[in-house]
Amino acid sequence: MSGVESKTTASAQFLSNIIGQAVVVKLHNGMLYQGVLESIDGFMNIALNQATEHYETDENGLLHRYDGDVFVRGTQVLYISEA
Amino acid sequence: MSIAEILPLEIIDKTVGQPIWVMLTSHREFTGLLVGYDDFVNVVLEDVVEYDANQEIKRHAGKMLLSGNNIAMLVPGGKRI
Repeated sequence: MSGVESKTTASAQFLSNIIGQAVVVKLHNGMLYQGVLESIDGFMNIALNQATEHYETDENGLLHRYDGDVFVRGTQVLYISEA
Repeated sequence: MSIAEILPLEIIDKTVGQPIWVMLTSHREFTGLLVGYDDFVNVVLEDVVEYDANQEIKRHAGKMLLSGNNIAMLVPGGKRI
């Protein structure tokens, strides 16, 4: 198969594997969000629970804590990574 | 008459499971093991090092889905020093 796995792509497989896990999401503007991944769709729209907000890395200090859910718009997402 | 003998994405396909260097349209770069990619050239990497303006800024132990939206270039073999 050319690059894309026979049925599910590497990206789709990754996304289904990390639901419910702790993740880090970085946006194009450098904001970093750490939280528990509630759900994600094909646009890379993301719902996080108990998110914390940092700039570039968590070593730069905590900017904000969101106790409920946050929605992150997919167009702004640079990457999502296992925490 | 000539037809391209190697399709561009074949280069990426051959790199699956090997180190790769991803450069974005900004000064941000990523290196890691290429786990896979999709039709949009969203890329799944493993054991990633993230750079900004050639400075290492973050390491990621697990897997990462990197949006293809801002990917400018992929270099098989990883980052040259």
